[in-house]
Amino acid sequence: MELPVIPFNKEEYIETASGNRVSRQSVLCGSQNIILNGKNIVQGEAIIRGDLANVRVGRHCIISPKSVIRPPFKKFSNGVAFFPLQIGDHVYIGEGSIINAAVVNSYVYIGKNVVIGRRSVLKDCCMIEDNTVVPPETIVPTFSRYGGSPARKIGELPECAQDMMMEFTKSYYRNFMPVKEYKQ
Amino acid sequence: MASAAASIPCPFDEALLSRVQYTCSCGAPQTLSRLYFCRHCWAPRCGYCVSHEVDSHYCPHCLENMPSAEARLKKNRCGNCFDCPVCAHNLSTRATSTPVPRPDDPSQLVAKKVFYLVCAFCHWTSRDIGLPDQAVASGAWPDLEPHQAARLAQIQEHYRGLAQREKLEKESRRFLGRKLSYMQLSDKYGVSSAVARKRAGLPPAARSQLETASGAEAGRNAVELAPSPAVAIEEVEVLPEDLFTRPVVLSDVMALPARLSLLEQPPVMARDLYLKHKHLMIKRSQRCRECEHNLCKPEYNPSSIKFKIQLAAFYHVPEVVIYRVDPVRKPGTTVRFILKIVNPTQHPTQVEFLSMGQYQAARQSLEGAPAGPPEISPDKKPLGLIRHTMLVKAGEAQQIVANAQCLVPVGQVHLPQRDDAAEYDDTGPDIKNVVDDEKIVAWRKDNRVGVHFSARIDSDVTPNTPIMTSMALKFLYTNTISALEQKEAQTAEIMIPVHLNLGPAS
Repeated sequence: MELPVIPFNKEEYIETASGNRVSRQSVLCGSQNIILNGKNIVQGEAIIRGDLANVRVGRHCIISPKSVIRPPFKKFSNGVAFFPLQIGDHVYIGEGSIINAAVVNSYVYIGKNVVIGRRSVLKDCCMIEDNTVVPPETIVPTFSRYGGSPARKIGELPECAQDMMMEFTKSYYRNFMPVKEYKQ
Repeated sequence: MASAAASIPCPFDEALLSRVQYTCSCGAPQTLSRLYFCRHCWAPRCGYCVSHEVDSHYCPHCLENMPSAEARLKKNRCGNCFDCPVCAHNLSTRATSTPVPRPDDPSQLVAKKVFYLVCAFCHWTSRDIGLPDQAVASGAWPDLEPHQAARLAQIQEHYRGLAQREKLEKESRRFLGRKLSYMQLSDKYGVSSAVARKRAGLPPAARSQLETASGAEAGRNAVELAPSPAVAIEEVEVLPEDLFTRPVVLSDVMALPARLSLLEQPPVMARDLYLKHKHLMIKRSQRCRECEHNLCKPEYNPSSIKFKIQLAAFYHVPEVVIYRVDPVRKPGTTVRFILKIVNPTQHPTQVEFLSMGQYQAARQSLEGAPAGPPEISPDKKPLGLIRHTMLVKAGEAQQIVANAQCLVPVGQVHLPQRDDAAEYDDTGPDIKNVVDDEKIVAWRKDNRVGVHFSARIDSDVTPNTPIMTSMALKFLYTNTISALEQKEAQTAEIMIPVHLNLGPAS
């Protein structure tokens, strides 16, 4: 599969020494609690709620516009507590998706307008289709394809899903091109 | 920014992936990601050309492994995890405390921790059906007894007996045949059959008689196990008086999927719902049906994505990607397009493109003088573990009919090996002073190369029908497994027909 060139406004993005490209239009709350390990792309209007708990993101992850990454909470008898959220490497989070998971492992594809319920665990090499609602405390096993509301297994990913996902996120990063005069 | 992201294709989109389809050795078209490449037969294999074996059972929720015998005993369900009977989401355990009288002083109340199950999606709880809360978090929930359990068990036992008898009969028949062959032997050499048996290392005949005797006994037992025939009920339960007068509460009546999902006692009303044990999932390994070597074997651990053996075609066959196609595709004209060819292996390769006519000719000349992989030494012949070693050819219906003739570029294209460090290396790979023909090669980067193609579209193609064209990919395959034994890498030219969907005609 060949990705198109993804243009972005050079003025809008900040590139860190480790290769992270973060849009100035994104909202990073509690930025001291957010760790991006390198070559990640955080696009405009994305929200990462580091003020609630730590958010760790691996390498080569893509956080699309209007997505919300929010650490999960658990209700106790004496109030609520927030837990850290961990995202592995080569993870794609589609536009407008809300991630409340406890752990998103590596090589995970999350489609558009997806809701990942609190304290869910997404194992390596899984895929959540567009417009899916993954209820709280779901565990999505490896090589499975989940869709629907509530999300259930609707298919399997091929054995080479790991390398397909690596190729996808790497070529996304390669094709993410700065443009001087960006036309909306 | 949002508009740019909207057109990002999903890497697992089957519709997009199937625009490039490789032909399996059985003739069926398949996407590269769903193909395997047998490095013993040197042929691509699709899901129908491999035998799938269950490696391990595991629960998708608690990710616990289960031996296959235990899985069979538990009807392929997890003992501890439950699904919601309404929405099929998994149930989670909630802890709460309830006041109970103190054992030593019943007049005083103490808080005791109890557990119940709740669905986080539809909020169904185990309390809705009146199940008492449990004192332990998992494992104590009572199971539902299947409807007519005793009779089902009886029938099952009966059929098990029948199967046993059939097996014994078959075995004794085989025994008889063997005996006959040794009788002939004894006649020929003038030795008694007993001596012949001894020579062949077989147990003495007396023991086999004993075995058949016990077999017959088992057979008799099986007959005795025959369940009583079904008896019609004389008195049918009278329908309730208020059947026609009671108002129907539709929200309490269960939908068909919910009824079918609980087969032990299908719930008709909401009060009949019951906890549903979670279905197990399996890890599969694939085996080539021709040579019976493993093509894919996952690791045992359910959450591992590693493979002990991984012979997916994605790692051995050059990947063909439609890079760019002319936007105007009129019938009767020639459409130009660029294909991206990627070498996924650790060895440099040469790629050549054949038209389907050239491919058929090459194929026929090869069949005249078989060369290449079928030089399997006798000791490496099929292991004979599986009975179905036959490969079934794909039917006509599965064939892709091309409506454009592919005009393939002439000449070889060199493809360097894949290098994981290439993105950190600015010098680029060593392409061994290969000078590319600009008419063929559009661009080149690392282990990827863009190649110019064109196709003549048939004049009778109606607008908006997808333009299908076919060519054959011929590439140099370096076999690494033989390199271990023979100290030098074995190479072979592999030909695989590829079908391309160039998009709708204009």
